[in-house]
Amino acid sequence: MNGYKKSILLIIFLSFTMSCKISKNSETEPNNTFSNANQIEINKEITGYLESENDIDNYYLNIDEEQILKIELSGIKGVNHSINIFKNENSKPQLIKVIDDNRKSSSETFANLYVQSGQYIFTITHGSRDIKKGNIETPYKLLITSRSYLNEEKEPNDNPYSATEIGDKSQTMGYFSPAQNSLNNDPISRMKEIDWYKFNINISDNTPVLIDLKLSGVTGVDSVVSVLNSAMEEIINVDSAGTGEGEIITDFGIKESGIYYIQVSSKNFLFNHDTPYELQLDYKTYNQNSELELNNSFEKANIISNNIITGKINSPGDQDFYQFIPPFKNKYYKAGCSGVEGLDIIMTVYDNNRNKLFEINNSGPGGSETIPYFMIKNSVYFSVSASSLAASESQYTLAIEKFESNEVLEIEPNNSKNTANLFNNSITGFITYKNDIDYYLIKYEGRQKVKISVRGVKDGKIKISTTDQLGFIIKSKEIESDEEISFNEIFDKKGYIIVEPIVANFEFPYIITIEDL
Amino acid sequence: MHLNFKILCLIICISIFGCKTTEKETNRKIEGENNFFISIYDSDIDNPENDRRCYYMIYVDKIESGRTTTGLESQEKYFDTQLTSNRHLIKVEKWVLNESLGRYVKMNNIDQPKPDFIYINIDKDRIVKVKLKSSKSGTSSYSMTIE
Repeated sequence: MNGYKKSILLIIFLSFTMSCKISKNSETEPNNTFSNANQIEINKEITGYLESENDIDNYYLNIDEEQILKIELSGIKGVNHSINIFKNENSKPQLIKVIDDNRKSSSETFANLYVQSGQYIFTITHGSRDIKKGNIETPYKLLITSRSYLNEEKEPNDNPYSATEIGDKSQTMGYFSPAQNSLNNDPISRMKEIDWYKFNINISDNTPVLIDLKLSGVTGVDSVVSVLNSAMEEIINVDSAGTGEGEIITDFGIKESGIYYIQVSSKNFLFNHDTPYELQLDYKTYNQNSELELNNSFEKANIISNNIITGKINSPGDQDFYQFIPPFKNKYYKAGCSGVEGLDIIMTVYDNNRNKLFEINNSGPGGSETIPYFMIKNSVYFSVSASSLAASESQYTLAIEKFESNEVLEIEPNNSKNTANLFNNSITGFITYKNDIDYYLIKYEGRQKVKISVRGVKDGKIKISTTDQLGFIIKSKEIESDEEISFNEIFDKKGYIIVEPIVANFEFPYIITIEDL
Repeated sequence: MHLNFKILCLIICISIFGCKTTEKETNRKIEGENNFFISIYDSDIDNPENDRRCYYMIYVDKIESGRTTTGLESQEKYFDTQLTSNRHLIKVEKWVLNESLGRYVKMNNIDQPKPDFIYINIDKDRIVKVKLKSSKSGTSSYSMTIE
């Protein structure tokens, strides 16, 4: 009887003890090594203590299928802790991720660890930054939750070797999580959490491929996107939007087949464990009338084939270069560049030797920039940049057309005595850009008295001056709008006429005629 | 005699064509026969730093008629025009180069030559030449020749 009672009491005691363990769901020390790690389960919170500066708590989790884990570790007052995640491959745990925000008392979170069938070990230990110390009063709580994997980054994807593969028309979800990557020892991006993606481009018929890349905005995060080639050279970097806003790369041209990489990261270690970003990638075949990035230099300038090209300013510093080879040399052409609302375009023209001819920034945001006409002797380069971007995509269209006129037209650039146009009876000129000054050279065999007649610029105001042989101003007249004035002047063999804008109008011309007296 | 006449015609034709060719060039020839000439210079400039570039505006009968050539104050600057036979008031106005402004500016009245005028008589088939000599002190002297 006694023995029977004892047996029953022992069973009750053991049952009580076991049931207590399950309900408490707390660590069982010692668990300082991988071999005596505690088993944990998904969706079951476990509590534990970092009792001393040397305490390490190991937990292992068996995974039977592909899924995404979210790992949450509560803070310990006064302690900077971290989570080291290992994958146990062939009984050799490999460190795959370190979760450590380098702050005391704060929690640690990792939003999306990609796991496959196998065993993973989670080591709760002290962070690397602060002095290690125990806390026997405040426990930590470790909770691992799970969801199915579907079109998302495969963390850890912190380097090109572990980059998540994506393709055309893919929409991939990812997180700016964790805040830092202690395993990143790259001197340029040290500690930065970077999500790597890779995609493959096959070029056929030497026709470049244009890629569109769209990264959605995430609250509290200022994101940066870079694309690298297979030689790990950055070929484009986009950081045009602010915190909470997305980044876009449009019509970026790729001319060589190969594997390309995308880096998605946040600035200043900003993170968001709750809201994912979406990375969208699309390919398309290059159209000759579209910009082909990278075209940020003379060497990489796109050829304007059909007198028109559409492009986009990707970031405030983006500058797009184009080369125009005129079908008819030594002829006048008209150039215009119009953009979307909010885009303040700067159009610059360079000659064949890459000397800057003029910079046009006459209109404000949303306005188009126009060169009414200019002589193209050989090929010229255009560069398009912007002093302010549009709220959405900063697209523009650059168009060039031949300008026919029976009049004798000014030839830009003629902004100085050295580049003055030789005057012969009559000239029609334009104020081409802000502060444009036009010089005309007058030559006679001897001293000549002349009558100068000028019709001004409609809706504008100009000043016309005559000079001595050296270019010093003798006489000046101001002309309102398109009124006509005339005055006499004497030239001693040589002199200049200078036209300057007082109120600029870039649409209408002025006309100067000289009659010998 | 007949041959001489032909040669003379040929020479005249060549001369006319030659003149036409010159007119087509950018540099043009001065036309007209003027009967009034004036030259102006400063006689006592002895320091290159004080030898400014200048010209004189010429008023005939209180109407702006033109300006002299430009040159240093010490150099002779010329103006000539055709005047009707009559008595005329010739007035000069000195403009000097302000290099910082890049333009010529009219000198203050106090610094203008004194006197800054001369009366001349233009007779038919006569040429009047006036020489105006100015000085640092502002005094000016006129000499006139009639040819």
